[in-house]
Amino acid sequence: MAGSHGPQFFVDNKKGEINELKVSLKNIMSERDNTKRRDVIKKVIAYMTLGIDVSKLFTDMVLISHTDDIVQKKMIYLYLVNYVESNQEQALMAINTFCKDCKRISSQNPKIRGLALRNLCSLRFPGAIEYILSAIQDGLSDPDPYVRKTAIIGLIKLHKYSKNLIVGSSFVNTLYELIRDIDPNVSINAILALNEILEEEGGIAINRRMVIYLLNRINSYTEFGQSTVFDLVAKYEPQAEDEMLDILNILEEKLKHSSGSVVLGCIKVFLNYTRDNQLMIRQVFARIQAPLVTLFTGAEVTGAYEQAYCILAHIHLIISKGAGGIFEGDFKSFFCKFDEPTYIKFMKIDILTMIVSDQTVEDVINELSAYVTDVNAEISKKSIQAISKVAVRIPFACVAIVRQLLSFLSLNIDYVITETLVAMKDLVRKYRELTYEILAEIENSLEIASDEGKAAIIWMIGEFGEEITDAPYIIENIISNLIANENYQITHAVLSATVRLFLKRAPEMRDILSSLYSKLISECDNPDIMDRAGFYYQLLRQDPSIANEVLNCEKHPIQNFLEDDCFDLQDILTNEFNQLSVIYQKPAKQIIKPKAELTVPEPEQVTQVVNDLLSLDQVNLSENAFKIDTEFVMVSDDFQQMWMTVPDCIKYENRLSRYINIQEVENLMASVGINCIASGDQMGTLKFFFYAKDSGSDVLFLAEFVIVLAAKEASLCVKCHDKTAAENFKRVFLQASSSFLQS
Amino acid sequence: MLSQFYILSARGDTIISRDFRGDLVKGTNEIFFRKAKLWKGDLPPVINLEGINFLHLKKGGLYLVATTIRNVSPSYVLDLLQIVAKLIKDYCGVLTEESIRKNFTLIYEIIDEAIDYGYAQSTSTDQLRPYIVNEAISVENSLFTFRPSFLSSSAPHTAVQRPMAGKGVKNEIFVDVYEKITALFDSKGYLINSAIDGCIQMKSYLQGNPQLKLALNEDLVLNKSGGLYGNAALDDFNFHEGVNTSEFNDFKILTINPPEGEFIAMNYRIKGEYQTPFRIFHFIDEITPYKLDFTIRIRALFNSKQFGSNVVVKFTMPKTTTSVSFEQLSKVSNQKTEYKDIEKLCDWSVKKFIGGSEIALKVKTSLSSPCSQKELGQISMNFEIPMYSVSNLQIKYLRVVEPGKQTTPYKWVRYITQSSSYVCRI
Repeated sequence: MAGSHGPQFFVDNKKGEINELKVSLKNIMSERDNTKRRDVIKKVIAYMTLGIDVSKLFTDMVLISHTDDIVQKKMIYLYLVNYVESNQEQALMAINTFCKDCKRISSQNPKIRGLALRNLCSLRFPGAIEYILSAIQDGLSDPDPYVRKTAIIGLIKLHKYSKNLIVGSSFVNTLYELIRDIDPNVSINAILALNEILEEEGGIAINRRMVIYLLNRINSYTEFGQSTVFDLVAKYEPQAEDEMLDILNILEEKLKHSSGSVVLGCIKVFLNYTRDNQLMIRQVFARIQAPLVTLFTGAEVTGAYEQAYCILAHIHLIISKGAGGIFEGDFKSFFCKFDEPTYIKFMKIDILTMIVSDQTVEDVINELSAYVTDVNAEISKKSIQAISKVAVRIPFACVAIVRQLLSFLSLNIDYVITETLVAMKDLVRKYRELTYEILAEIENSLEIASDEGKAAIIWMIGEFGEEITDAPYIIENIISNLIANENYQITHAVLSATVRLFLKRAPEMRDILSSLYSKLISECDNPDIMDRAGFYYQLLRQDPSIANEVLNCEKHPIQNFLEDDCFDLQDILTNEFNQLSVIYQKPAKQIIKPKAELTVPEPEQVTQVVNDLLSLDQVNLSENAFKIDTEFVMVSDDFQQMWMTVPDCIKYENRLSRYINIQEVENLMASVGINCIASGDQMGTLKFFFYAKDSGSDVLFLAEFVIVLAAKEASLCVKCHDKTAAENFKRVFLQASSSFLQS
Repeated sequence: MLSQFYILSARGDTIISRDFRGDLVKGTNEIFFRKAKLWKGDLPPVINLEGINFLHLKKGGLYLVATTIRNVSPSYVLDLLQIVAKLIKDYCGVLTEESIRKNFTLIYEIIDEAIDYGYAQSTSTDQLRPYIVNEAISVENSLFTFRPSFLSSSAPHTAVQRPMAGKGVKNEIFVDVYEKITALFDSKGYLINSAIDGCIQMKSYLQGNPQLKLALNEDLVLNKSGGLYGNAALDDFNFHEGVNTSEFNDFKILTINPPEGEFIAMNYRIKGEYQTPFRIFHFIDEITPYKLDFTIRIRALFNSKQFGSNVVVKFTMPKTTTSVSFEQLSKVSNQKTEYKDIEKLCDWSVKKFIGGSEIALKVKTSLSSPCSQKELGQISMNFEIPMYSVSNLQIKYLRVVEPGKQTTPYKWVRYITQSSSYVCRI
């Protein structure tokens, strides 16, 4: 089109084109042909999406907004919402357009009313609130459900912008009334809105009448509506057993639904209502078993592995709460398939180890053994771990399982051998009677296994050295090949195994022990190992019998490994079923951060650079008065001691302006001489401990700096004896962090 | 509820991005993609990074990602993402990077109607229809068109990839009985695990969404474990929202109010034995400790009118293998063999495998050191058999209930059997 107006060579001349558009927009003001009008507007939008600034056309766009054509409306709204923030003076014009389109008198078409209302509610600036409020008020009583449901969501948006506006107002009552709206979408939105607006009071208030009402019209809601309702019903506490059974009977039909969110929502109600009744909860487990299996296998058929994963995670949880028995008959459903993603395979392998029984152990072990040769090393390792877990769970099968494990040693794959050896080490801690069988086989693997595997073998030699005739020679051989600084894990294992073996077989081991010590003294530079060697030496010198008591004490066979027992899951099962906690296997308090809303727009890249430059200058200027000693180094013990004794001096909080990682923060601080002594990342919360010293006055500063990434919050706590000096430190600190903190 | 939604290409470009609630930092798409790229294996669909929850679907090489900071219901969010994927597919015909780039205004329209402030709103194709004004630009004959795994290559899927709102929509409906089978044979050839996971999938272009009656074979047995040969016996099943099952138990009739576009009317599963379509035999000849001859024979046990298509047989050789040569023992045409030395993987494919016939292959292997037979692992097969249903579940008839319609719709009923995991241990 541009070509017909001028020579094509000048397509770069954007300014000219924008003026041209301005003229076109003026021309179509009185144009009646909608296709012509659409074409011009489309061109404006095309420029906008390309990133060309067309904000100059704002007035013209407002002027042509009087149209009934929804295609044009949508494009004009898109434009207006996009540029309203940069056109504050003309914003009111845009708001008027929206308000007019929201009104029934001026706008007959409910689609346009809804559309205008939705866009109006998305505008976020102070002057807009009263217009939005009155438009929402009208929208809530609009004859068209599309407008009503949009108005309800608008209320939530407004609530987020200004909390006190809605809570306690008559809107809350209106929302309760709208739950009974004839349109199911309006009804669901009213529930959603109440839940969010009344969040601090624990969400929407629910009573028996409402539950019955909602369940009676449950089939009119979409699957998402149904899961919203079930979430609500799960919070209700039935007054009597009859009432509870009535509700559950209504819900039972929904277990046949093909949507995961509906079925899981429904199961949540079942679990919540029967949580205190052991007998009933068994019946519930039995009832939900088949639907859950059908759901995940059904999802797999259509390639919806993500949903299958979610269902499997819930099955995992239910099993870990003692429902393993009910899935036993279906254990083959949890066999891994060739083409499944690894996350599904991991989950299934876990589940298999949990539901295995005396009857199924042989099949399960055969199946798991087949995964050991999987092309994916992670799956292979996971299945070896799983096999050893099964051995711990099913004692009568342990001999057969150990033989199976031993057969993996002939596979000649280093990670398989290593993982197998580690698994064996764990098994002999439980089944000490198997030691001999295992020890006879593992020696040969010493050469192929990687470090972790070697360490496992060496540990076993130390532990059971009295039963291996060759033990001293094996150890001697290892020591002669040992390079002390090459691998601390192995050196560690060799040291303790040698000492323990010495206590058992002193005559054979005396020379070997001394050769190890001379090797360590001449070669080793690891303080940890040297400390331990020193400790053993002292112990042996004092009294070998005490040393023997300490090092070779009688160990009771362990019953279960602590890692395998989960304590927190009960809470998740009853309170957080069908929530993210189930997937992470952690209660909500560990994963959900206190949230904070964003109201301040992010600073642009350019200003950041300017800030950086400025801060550099300022640091240089302030050098005379206050200078951080960049050479100063502090050890952690001193730091800890000071941290306990020095009082908090300054506390400061701010918000992040951009995403940042640990390394970057440390580097920025190091560049001004503030050193980091410890840092860490716990699920998105970055924590740092810093220290610094003023070179003039020798005043020390300690600081704790915490960043919560998701909430964009940062807080600083400075410890120091001198308040004014601490202010100086804070200033330097903030200058260094100005690139990622808001000004 | 969702905080943000975006679609990322396989290379990590953000093609579509929508911020619903403004309660999260920008740049979360980068956090996500960095993790996805570096992850060993497949990235779990629900993951917490830097305190932000990411839920995603992977469809045709694209990532559909939702973020949230609340302890939401993961199934709600995943189902919602699935719905968005379905809507895009219904309106654009296919879900590919190209179709999204060409139709991005349409896609923003869909997202804005389907999700408001992070909550599910209008989620069915017909409910959305009046509010969508952009017309789809269809992407046709693209080499990289994503083909949903449930559509057989032998079926006319170009028709099924048409956008819903396109011009000249025919009054027609597609019904696929789609069965994925699992079979595991031990080294002696005994079937030790078997299952059928099936679904009845429909794609409706019917005008005016009339009610349908779908009748299945009457001898279908419900809720019965085990099952006899010849009789389809379902262990468990579930249904789509729009399916009325009041006549199902007695008459095996489903009354369906079909939503526009694609949906799965019914899922079912059958555990226990069935007539497996292929038998696998294998022999190992140890000529010397350094030379192995490995022979595989596969027989198709179904009717000669039917055929297996895109049959691929895979197995790995021992780690110490130095060279491999193939000898085809049967005269079936269009066979291909390939050996990938890095993974020690043999790949043997047959374009068309007619029922009743047999194919065989001898693999001559040289080894650098002797190995145990265990290292041979397993033989796995991938295949598709058009117009074949292992379970014997059949569609007796499909009727449009509303009388007085002048035009009878076109009805396409297909049966497809596909391997899910078809494995023989060595």
